[in-house]
Amino acid sequence: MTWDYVLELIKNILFTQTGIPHVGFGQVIMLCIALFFLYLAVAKEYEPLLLLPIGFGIFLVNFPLTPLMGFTEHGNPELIRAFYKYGIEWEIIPCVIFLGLGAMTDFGPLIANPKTLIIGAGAQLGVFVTYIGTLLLGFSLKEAASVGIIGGADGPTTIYLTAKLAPHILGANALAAYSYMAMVPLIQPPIMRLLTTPAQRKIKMRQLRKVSKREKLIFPLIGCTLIVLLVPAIAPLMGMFMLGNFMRESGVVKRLSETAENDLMNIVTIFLGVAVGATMQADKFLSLKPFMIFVLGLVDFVICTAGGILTVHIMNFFIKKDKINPLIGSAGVSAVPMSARVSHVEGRKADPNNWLLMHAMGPNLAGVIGSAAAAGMLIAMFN
Amino acid sequence: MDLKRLSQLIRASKSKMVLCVVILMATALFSSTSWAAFIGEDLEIPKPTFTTEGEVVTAKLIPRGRNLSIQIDFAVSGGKLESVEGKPFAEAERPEVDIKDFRSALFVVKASGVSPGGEVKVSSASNYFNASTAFWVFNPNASTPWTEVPVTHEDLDNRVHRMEFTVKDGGPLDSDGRADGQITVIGGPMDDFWAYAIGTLVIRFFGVFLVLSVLLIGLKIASGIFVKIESSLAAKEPAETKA
Repeated sequence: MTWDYVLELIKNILFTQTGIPHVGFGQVIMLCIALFFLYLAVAKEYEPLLLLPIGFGIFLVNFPLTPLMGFTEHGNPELIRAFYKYGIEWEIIPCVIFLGLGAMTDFGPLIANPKTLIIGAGAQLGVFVTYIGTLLLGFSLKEAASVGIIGGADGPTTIYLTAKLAPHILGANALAAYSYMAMVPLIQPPIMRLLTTPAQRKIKMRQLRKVSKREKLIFPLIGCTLIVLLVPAIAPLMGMFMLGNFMRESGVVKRLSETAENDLMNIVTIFLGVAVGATMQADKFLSLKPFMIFVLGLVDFVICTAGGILTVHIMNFFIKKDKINPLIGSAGVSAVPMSARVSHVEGRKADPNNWLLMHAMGPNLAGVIGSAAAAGMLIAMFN
Repeated sequence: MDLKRLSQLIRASKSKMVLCVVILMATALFSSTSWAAFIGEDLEIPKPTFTTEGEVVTAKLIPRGRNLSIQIDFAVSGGKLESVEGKPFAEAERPEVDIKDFRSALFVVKASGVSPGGEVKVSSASNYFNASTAFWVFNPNASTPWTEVPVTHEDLDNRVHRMEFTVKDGGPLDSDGRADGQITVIGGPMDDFWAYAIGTLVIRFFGVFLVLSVLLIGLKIASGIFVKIESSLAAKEPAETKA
């Protein structure tokens, strides 16, 4: 063995078995983006449950030669590719998350004031307006639909729809959706103040009636029947959502209900976050498209918020008594329960004795159903 | 709401930063180089595969804006259908046409056995077509390369719609340009993309209202029933307690 041989060996090892010589400029940028999202998650606590695994997913896959998102020589998926394939490609994780969400949700405020469902529908305005805007910018129909749904402010629905229609923009879409959901308290208040007068913000709503246990139990069955009959394409999401809620309200499967809303949801959230983050590899992500998606997502979010508020104004035009406080309209964008809290906070700024939280939960839950219905409509469009 | 108040609101909120980012992004987008980079690769190009059964050639493809594949049957009367092939749109791209309108690809239909200078009828049928689907033909040698062909529409069984048009050997629709008993037609079914996109969108937006309105009615009815049940149960309870 000569020194030359040893040096050649070291050189070979360095070039073929370590990542150092393969680090490119794009990867460095992606690592910075990953660190930025990790910072938002850890230091700012913006949606940390998702932004942290997403950020770490971006961080991991942008190191060169990592056996994470490819396939082995036998054709088996590597670690994160397996999470992606079985969790997202097979559309399992978003549905499992909806199961957990259903198990967490108390539909009482929505059942007590069902007309808030209309606000949830009005708040989908941005989904459709952005769709047109996105098409005008040259995106394809499927991409436009996937970008449009960001305004619905429902992470699992966005991921479900994008994975189905335009998986190549999944990372950007999911990141935009969760980022804007985290920024609800920053984005919504100026729009709310702009579209309401001080007098409208002070409107006190009549206290919600008490909803019986029987009504809450029957709601997932009625909801599931009507929605799935009208929009079968959304049965996987809505079915799981209503199953989770039925488990909760039945009160006889506490263990299952608690598992769905805690352990199961936590487990799949880790896989979802890492897998979504891992789709953002430098060679695929670094183009203008993801940045446009961020801009369009913001516009979408703004229009959805405005759509909810304007819907309340229109409803109030026809309602003679028991007017609705338009501030709860912004909660129609889903983002449970953050946007309902924002409505409540803004309401209390106008009148410290005005308690809007429970009233805002109605459109907030309607927003979840509305965005899922919109997603179903968009999926059906391509079948 | 005056502009002064609007600017105050924006200044007061932290969304100022977000607005700056939007403006920067918009500026970047509208520079031509960024635009080209942004458009990126066309991932939705239909890639037809062909099978022949008797005198019918069937193209199977996933059209633009669809998840599921469709079939288009081609046949010729007054001659023999030799072949049907796909043609990349890039080769026929002209400013007067938009690729998005040709959602189910471009085809090259070749027929032989036509009496020189005679006519053949070319038909294409699919359950993807409807009465507003048009058929456009591309002839690179003509002064106006793209022409909408007058077609006759016919509804067949199983929601299949057939379009049929006449091509004259050596005529303006025949790309080989010669009255030699052989016909080459380049073209494809065309649907107005924007009419479809906006039309379906409006329907679907109101669809969301419809779904949630039906749920609202369902909830109102269920609530009415349950409130009655609860109140009758509540009325019974004190009576039983008294007894």
